[in-house]
Amino acid sequence: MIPLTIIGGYLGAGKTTLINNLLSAPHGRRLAVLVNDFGAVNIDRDLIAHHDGDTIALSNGCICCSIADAFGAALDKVIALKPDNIVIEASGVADPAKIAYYGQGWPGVRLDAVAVMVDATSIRRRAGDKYVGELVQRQLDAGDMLLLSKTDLISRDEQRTLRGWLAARTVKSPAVDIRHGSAPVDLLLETGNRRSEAAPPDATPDHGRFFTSVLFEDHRPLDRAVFIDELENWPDAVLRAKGFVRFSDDANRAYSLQRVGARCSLEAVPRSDDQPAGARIVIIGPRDRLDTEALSESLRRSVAVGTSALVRR
Amino acid sequence: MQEIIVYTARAIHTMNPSFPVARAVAVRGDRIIEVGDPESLRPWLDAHPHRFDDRFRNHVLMPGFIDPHLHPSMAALLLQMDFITAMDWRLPWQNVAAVRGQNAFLDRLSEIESALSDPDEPLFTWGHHPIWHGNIERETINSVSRSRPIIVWHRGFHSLFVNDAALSWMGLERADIERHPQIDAETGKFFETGLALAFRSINPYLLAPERFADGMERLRQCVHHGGHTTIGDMAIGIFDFEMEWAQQLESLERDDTPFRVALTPFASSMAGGDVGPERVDEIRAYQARNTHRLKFANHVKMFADGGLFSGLSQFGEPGRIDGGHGEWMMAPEIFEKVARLFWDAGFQIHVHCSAELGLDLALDTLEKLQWERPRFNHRFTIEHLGLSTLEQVRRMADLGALASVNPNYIFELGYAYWQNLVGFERASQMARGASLIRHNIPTTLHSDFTMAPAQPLNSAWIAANRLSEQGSVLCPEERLTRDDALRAITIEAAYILGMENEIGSIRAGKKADFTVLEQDPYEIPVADLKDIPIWGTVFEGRIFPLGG
Repeated sequence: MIPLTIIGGYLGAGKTTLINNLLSAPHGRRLAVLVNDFGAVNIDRDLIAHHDGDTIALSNGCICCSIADAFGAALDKVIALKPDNIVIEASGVADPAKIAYYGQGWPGVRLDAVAVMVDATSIRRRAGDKYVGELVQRQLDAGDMLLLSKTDLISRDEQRTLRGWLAARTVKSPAVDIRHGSAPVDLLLETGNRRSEAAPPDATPDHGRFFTSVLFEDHRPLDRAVFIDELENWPDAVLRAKGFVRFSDDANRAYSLQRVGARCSLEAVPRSDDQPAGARIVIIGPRDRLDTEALSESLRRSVAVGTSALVRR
Repeated sequence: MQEIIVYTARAIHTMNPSFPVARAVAVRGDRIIEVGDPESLRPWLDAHPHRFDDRFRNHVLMPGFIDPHLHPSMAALLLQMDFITAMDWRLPWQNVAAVRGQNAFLDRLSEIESALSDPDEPLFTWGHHPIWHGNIERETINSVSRSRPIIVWHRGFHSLFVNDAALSWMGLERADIERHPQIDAETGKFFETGLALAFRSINPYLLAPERFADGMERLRQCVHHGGHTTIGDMAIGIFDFEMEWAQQLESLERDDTPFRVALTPFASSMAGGDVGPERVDEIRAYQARNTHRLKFANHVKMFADGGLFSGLSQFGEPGRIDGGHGEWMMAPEIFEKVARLFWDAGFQIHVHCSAELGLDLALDTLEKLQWERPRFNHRFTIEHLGLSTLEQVRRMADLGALASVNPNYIFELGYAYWQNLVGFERASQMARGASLIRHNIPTTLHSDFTMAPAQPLNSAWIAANRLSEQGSVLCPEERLTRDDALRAITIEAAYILGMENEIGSIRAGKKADFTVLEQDPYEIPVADLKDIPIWGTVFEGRIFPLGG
């Protein structure tokens, strides 16, 4: 099943810019992107290989398809093209949680991530707006992660106030700054966790400034109960975690770990050559807040027997 | 020149308050020459060849009925289905008797099933309502047939139940529906986003050219049987604009179609996206397609909040009993922007408004537009007017908004909204009437067919009586008077469509459109309005008896 990422958020939060960047970034993946309105998507003319009514094919293998009035039909159309990932731009007034139902139930796809874009300059005003306040709050609640745009347009004090306001909400989604409408592909999309599928290094300077990606490895299997318990208590700075683990009660089988925000899945997977003997997990989070020591410690506690031999790279 | 025909009738209610009742109407070709009595018509008759026709001597003539807001394309889908309903439905080809209770529902379903000759033909039924029919779930439907796909559509359209054969007909794997959060695999229920998965198979089937044409032909008959001579398609393009236009052209623009259609396109689209000035030109250009019966004008349809039937309206304070939330069909900023585009271009804007907050958005926008660029006679119309406050009614009057009300909310949703969603005070005042008239707001009634029967007399009956399906009277203070209810399905409806100089009343110079009734709606008890038998209609001077 094709992983589905939903980009939500109110009008003006930067969804289209993010999608423009996703379509043109050199990530080497064939993305299918469903957008509400072609007009707003500004694809570099040199990249357009073919334009046919409601579909634009790009020379890098990506496609962009207009939802128009027929969401299901548009989704089926791109599923048939077997892309690596599908990205849906939710309308500014959509509740991303509702679109997520498609990821949970439409044949051929499964929900990967719901990323909600947040305009740092206007979110608090919008959240109190008579017409859209309640909607904007639901959008915040629906995100596996919140991507804060335009934080460079507000003062440090205002940033602190905004962080405090977001943190005080009852439903917490991890929030992270992004610049120029761009976030690491590995963060937004499930990009596979085989070494052979490693994407070209992310050279976007803003990504290095705001995000970090850390690899944890151990050659020994984990204790299932301890690890699941640890997983539940990981800090919200873990925006995405992916990898393979083995458990001591079933060490012949590798499990694929996929965690986006607070949503997590652990699934037994067929044997393949690049599975580790123990655990290998990549964690992506904000550079300034991802406490790698605490995460190392958490994994060390999960190892079934003996002392730690965790390697951090 | 054609000869003048003088129709005499038991009574002619002209709906022209300065000349309310007549006994004779002189018609030449498609126009009314004069209204009065045989004596008063003399100057015209002495000067021109004429003859008298007294076939309506025992009948009552009204101006041809007008429903300014219904949906032919949705009707063409629905009318392909077999009705099993808790209320009587009069369809031109069948009187559907009320079916109540689960056993009766299943008996009727089996009866329909066994009458089908092709064993693989899917069976669609519409009208199921748990209040009246209990739960009709997958296993229950399996007991009717294991091999024929059966789809049981909820009366309010927001959910459906299917049997196992229908699941395989839809090409759905058990695993697909088991993991879907809005499909219940056990009961076979599809709802909200789950419906999209069902429509994936159902729409192409029901919209297939032959079936859609058949549905549109049924719609044509229903419109005639309701006594209409004009309808408004208040959102052409629900499924596919060009497909719907082509089908209306083929099915409705025919010499034997006794009505015209005022077509109103979406300002942007069903999805409510942003548009630029080119959309204004595009919509203006639709008028070049106008035919004798199918007409576009400078009208657009917009949406504020989600519908009352789907429970997605935007409620004002204090919200809903269950704390539930509604939806915006268009982002408020885009709503304002698109409204401004068409306001500045001189269009009449029709806005779908279901509950208080949706209405506030429409009125805030209208006030802003009036401030920026004042317009007289703009006829900005609030469509549906589900829940509202009296203060909003006054504001509508202040801003010059018109009201096109769906009174069926009272009948069909009043009780459920009272019990489950907003309580008695607000539910009872749904779909206002008298307060609009008191504020001099031009007020019309519509069916939103398929949301309610396409029968103007039924709409007038609900608005004048305000009975709920369960028999309670909801807010008698908002009842329309008999006269206002009848104006609402004739001259006021014409006004809201911008066609009042041509239709809507019986007066010299207008189109000779009449609805011919067997009883006088001004003489019978108001409680019987909906039961007045319709003999037929006269459309542009030509006589169209029902069943004729």
